[in-house]
Amino acid sequence: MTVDGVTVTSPLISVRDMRVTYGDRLVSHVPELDVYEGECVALVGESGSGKTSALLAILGLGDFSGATVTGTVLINGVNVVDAPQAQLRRVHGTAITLVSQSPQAALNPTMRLGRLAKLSLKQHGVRGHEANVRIADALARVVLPDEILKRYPHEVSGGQAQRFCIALAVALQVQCIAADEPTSALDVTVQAEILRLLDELRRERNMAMVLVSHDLALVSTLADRIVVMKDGAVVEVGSRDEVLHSPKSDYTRELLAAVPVLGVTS
Amino acid sequence: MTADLLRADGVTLSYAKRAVVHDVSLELPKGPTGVALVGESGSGKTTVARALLGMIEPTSGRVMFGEMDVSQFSRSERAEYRRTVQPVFQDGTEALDPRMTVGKALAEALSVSPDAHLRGAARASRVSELLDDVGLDGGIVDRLPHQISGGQRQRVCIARALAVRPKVLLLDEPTSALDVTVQAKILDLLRRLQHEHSLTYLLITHNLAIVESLCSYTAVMFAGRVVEQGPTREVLLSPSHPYTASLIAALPRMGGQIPTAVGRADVGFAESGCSFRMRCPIAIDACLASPELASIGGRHVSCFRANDVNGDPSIVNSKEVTP
Amino acid sequence: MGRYLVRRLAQAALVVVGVVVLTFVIVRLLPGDPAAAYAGPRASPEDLARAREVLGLDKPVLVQLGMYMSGLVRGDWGTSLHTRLPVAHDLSIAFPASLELVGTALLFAVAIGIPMGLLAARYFGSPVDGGIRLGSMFVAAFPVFLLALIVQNLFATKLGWFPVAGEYDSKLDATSPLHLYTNITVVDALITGNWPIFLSTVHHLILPALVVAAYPIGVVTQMTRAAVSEESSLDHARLERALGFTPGQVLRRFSFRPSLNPILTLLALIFAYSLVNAFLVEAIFNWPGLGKYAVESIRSLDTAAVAGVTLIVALAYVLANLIVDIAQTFIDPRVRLS
Repeated sequence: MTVDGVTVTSPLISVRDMRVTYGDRLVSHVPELDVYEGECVALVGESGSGKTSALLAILGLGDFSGATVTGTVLINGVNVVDAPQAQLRRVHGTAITLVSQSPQAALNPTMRLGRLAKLSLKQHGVRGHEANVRIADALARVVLPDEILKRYPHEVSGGQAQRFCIALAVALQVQCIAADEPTSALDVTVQAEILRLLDELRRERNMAMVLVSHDLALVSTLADRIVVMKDGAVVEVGSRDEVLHSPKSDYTRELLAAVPVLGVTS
Repeated sequence: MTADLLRADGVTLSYAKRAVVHDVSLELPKGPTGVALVGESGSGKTTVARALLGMIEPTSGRVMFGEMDVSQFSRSERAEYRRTVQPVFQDGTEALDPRMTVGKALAEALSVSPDAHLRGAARASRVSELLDDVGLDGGIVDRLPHQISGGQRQRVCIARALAVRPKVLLLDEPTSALDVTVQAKILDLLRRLQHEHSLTYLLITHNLAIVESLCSYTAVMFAGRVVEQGPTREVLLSPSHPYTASLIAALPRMGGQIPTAVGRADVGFAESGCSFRMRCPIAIDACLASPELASIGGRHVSCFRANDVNGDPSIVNSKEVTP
Repeated sequence: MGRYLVRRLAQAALVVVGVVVLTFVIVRLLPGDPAAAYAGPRASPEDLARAREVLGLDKPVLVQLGMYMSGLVRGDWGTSLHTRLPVAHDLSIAFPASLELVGTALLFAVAIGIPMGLLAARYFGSPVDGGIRLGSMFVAAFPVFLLALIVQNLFATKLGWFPVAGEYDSKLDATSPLHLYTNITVVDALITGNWPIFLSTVHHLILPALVVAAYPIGVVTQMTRAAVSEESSLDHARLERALGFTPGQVLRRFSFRPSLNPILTLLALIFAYSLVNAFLVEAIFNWPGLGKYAVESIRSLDTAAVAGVTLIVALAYVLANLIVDIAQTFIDPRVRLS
């Protein structure tokens, strides 16, 4: 889109006054948030901050946990907050998909990985040879052997399962990955692998990312912008450097001070 | 030698004829001090801790409690030993009986402690002393575990362990279920208790950043073996084993670059020779043989290239990976 | 897998031995003297003693147990006092008829209960769900004999849509005699192509089978609803939604299969329960199954026959469980590990 001769990219995800409630209880409120192509925005907070509820609501899956979501979340022109199922198909697995906290539990226990990959592509009209090529390419990209397609989730390691979930996003060619604590169930060495992979995909394919994490240090290595949440409210939004080096809220300062650092005994 | 409270002496544990822990020797000195066991899941660190706790018997090797072999204990000696070595687990929700109030949980622990004879007011004052020790308000005694926060539950678990006046606390990922701000407070508490009660900590964790504040000595385990052990500052700040170096390189640092992934964790480990060689970026032909855990300076390292690593974690970024 | 099977078979064998011992003990605890029943009401003390000898009642208990067990293995399940025929023979006629009835009932339970459960899970918490839940509770709680009488009176006697009683029209025995292989009429008629008897049997089966199926339909509906909606709330269902599958697709394609295991376990339990529950229904619809035989045996203190009925129900239960356990390993790959 061009305004006065200047190219303006419209955001991939546009959140306005999004509220997530369970009954009368407001668990998450995001007044305003835009996510652009190739950008990594992180939602950081402790338990009860509402960061995961916010992520699910942004995904249009607020109903999944029985929450009520109000406000607007525009993805690809669809307001996922109240879109009918037919429209959500233009969003889920097309514009955005999920990478979960416990990768093995996120995969159906009774389904071989290959079948899940094929069904997922078929759901978006990709079949036969093209589906096979896309799956093979995606596996190659996340450095998993083809042989993994014959396995069940319990037959692969946590790191492999997470790579496979990312491969699904790659094969579906989504524009954005919503990652819910994608590495907190993994060993630190595997975590580093997954973070690298996510970062590379972002650079190569201009993929956007909404990352939820409790780990400020982790977030600080990956995110362009950081949203700090506490008790369901956004307490600070800023670029990574702003939040790390000149935090405005006391809570952000407290959070920064609490992160243990190797080589610095407090 | 006799100053050690608890010692693993060449402990090997096998299941179905496969060694899951291989020839581990570790000394827990008298407190206040701490020994950390670090390594990824499946490295055998929890199994070693369970052996030290007397929950499982080594296939070979011994666990020594002072001068006594733990496997030779009489029933009363075992009870005494169980009391001396108390565990604190990751998740207070699972460790506490959901139907038992905090007060009851502490009273139950007291009943097997040297203070079991206390009655009435004396017992109540011991309970409030314990709560005070872990920074909890006396009013919490009537609460059930689900009525208090995660940090408070972990404090209750610590108080319950202290109730029996132990000498060793086994801390199994004591803060990994907690928020960072709570974690910082629990670490402060543990550090204070360590000195006030002269406790020895055996800390099992994957979080290297919390090791330093509680433990002066660290053992790094990979695939059931200790690959490097020594004073924490030396091991974690200038590692000599490429695995230790890779763990440190993988830690995300505030505001830093994406952490470095060394090799691929899912290639597993080698059954013969150096178990880390398949993931090792600096493996050489010599690594087809098994390295001994050799003493280098103040620490023990099992690596043929320890002198090349020599405290430089960035060596794991080098590209000389042999396929 | 092989080891799992062997272990499972060994367990089943152990249960069978346990049941045999138990039936032996229970039968000995039953009131009344089988020797007196055997010898008849006007027996002299000598007659009684002889009866005792014939029945082996004069031997030590353990010897009697040994005789009983070795007899079972050889196919000698004793002789029925009231039919004066071998118990094994009586059961080979009565049991298949019960199996026919209960098997059909379970087919109904699966064919009706599972779709109902899926529907309720899909519209969880909605009026549809509420209606199905209420209905399933009602049919499961309704007393089976009352249901049998109402259904028989309405659909057979009043409306005349179905025959009132019996297994098939006995006049057909003359016009198109049935060749027996399995003793399960509907199966034998089907494999020998005896259509008149097949159709007549199906016609006779529907009412009693539906009555027996009432309870299974109710519980299968509820179990399917619970298991599928639980499965649909798990992490994997969230990912499946995020990949672009609709809630309905998640339910049918992704959540149903992992939910099948508890449903199958339940079916095995219901099977054994229904075999016994069907006794009353068999009596009302004059179905030539175990029910009639069991009642006669109990009434005439026919210990061998009572033991035989108990044993065959237990065996059927053990076998059903075994089949379910094996089926589960094919449904859920995780079961193969444990």
